[in-house]
Amino acid sequence: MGSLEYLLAALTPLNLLLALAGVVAGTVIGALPGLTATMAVAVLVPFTFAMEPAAALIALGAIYTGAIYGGAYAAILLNTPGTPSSIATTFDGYPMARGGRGDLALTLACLSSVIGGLVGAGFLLLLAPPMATVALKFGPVEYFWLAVFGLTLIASLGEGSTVKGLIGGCVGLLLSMVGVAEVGGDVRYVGEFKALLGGVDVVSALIGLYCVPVLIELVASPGQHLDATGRVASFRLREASTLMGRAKFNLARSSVIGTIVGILPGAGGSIASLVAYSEAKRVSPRRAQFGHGEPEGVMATESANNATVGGGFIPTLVLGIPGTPPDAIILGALLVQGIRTGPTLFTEQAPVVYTFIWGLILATVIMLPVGLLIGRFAFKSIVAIPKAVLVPAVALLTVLGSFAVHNNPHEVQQMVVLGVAAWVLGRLGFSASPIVLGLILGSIAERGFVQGHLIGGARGSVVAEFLGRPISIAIIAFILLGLLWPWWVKRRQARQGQQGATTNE
Amino acid sequence: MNEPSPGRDTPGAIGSALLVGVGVAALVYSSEFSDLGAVFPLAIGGLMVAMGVLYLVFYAMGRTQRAAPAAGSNLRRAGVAVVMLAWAFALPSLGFLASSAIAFVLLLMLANHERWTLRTVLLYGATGVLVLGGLYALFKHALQVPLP
Repeated sequence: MGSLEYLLAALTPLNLLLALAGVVAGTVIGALPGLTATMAVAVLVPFTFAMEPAAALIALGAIYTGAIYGGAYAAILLNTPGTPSSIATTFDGYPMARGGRGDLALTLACLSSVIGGLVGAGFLLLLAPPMATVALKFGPVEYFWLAVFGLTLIASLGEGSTVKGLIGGCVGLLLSMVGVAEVGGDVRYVGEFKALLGGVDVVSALIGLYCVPVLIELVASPGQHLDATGRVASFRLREASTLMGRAKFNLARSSVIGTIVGILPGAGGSIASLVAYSEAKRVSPRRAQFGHGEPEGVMATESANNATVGGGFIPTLVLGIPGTPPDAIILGALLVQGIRTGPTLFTEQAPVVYTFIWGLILATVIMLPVGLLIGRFAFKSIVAIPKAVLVPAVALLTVLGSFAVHNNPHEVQQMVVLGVAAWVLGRLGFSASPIVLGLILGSIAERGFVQGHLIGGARGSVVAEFLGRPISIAIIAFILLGLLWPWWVKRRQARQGQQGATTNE
Repeated sequence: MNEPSPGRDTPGAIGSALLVGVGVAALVYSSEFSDLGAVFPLAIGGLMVAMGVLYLVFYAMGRTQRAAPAAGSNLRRAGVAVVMLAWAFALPSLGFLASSAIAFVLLLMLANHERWTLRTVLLYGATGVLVLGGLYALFKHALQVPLP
């Protein structure tokens, strides 16, 4: 059976309908703060049990890809990442929306998500077996350095002060240590609050840290939440296409980063988008605009997080190791369908696998019109809704979203307490983004460090374990490049300025 | 002693001092952990204290810049914070619908800057019922979330 036949098998009316319904359902669920892509897949997975395996996989892939994209709406329009994958989208998406370019940001997010999704699915289609072996080369030490790589972004996220950014990052890192330690089992920073034994939930914390300060600030003065600049009726497709044409290398790089990070079990869309954002900022001539509404920032994060969908399926299907949390649920659904994943899957179950991959590509393409239409509707709604209704409605979503993660009222309390604390810290000039970055990457960094330390100790050299492995060395090189590159560029510009001034004299 | 200049970041210095305290507390409590469990808390607590002190030194040297203070009503801001906190802690005892209905009305009042008319009362009231009822139905029945 050739590739064209698999494509035709994916193009049945039922599969197309499932892809459309999955993308719409995923996008809507992903857009609600607190409802993650994992939850979208988990809630809707029982509907697929009665379907044919390929059709079920197409539906689940469509839900997953739609949910990852849907997270961008709340990130851009409300400064609240709908899913953890869209954290970095808030950095430039919300400033764009505040500056009257929310519609453009949404269109860019949609186009970038489609491109990222197609690149990830393309890798899955063409290079799945060899790329899956890359995942096996990542040990605890590589995860540690990957987390450190993400943490280097903290230095640039402090509003006007690197030191303040680092302090905020430390706050997030300390928050990540609350509860029972994953390695060693120490109970840390819990005190009398037994509800904290499970640690600070990342999704609830995200909602609180990003959304509550926005709500508190929204009520302070009259006027609209977002500036629509009278162009609500337009998709701004031409403008978006021009911007994307200029940023084609950024899109390609971010999509590849997303695919590779997606392949790494447990890393996921949040790390992919942060790493892609960091790289886009490092090499961009407009790096000073990042964090203030730079379209390239939105393109980098959205292409990267959607590329993780295809990337995550690579180890899931080839090795039976889920690349991302939603992949773990999809893996379970596959087992229910009687499909055993593994290296032989692509030969023994080729019709199912290739029909699914083509279905995923179709779902990603369907996301383009669906995403643009839902994006326009969401933007018009957010602009038109009076603040008096918007504030309590969004507050209600934050409470529901943080409760729904684990059906735990204590997580609602965590969310609000962290949100109010973030607002107070914001008034003192400490931005929420470094705190979030520290919170997300802290546990990955610590787990990698402690496990690497133990393994290194057992092998006789901790230093060789951390600094002697090829992938670690490559990541360390990127870390140093990321830290030193802006300093070197600034120094070169200053020297050129001095030379120019001397020549003019 | 010189008064801080308008450009100096006094709020940032206060925040740094508070977070130095948090860092010290993190260091003190880390003595209760095992050697392996204390590595990261010690490193991060130490870094936090060092960065906080560094910022205070910058402040003393006049090398910090204060961000423009936010305009608007601080009373309304504080009101939202209090309502959200009360809502979160009342949720288990009052239940979702009762606590949310009360919080929704209070937040609506805090966020509204226009004059109240019969039309706005009816319109906002109906919207509130629709939003609350719609989201309750979505989460409780469609998504099977066991709301308190």
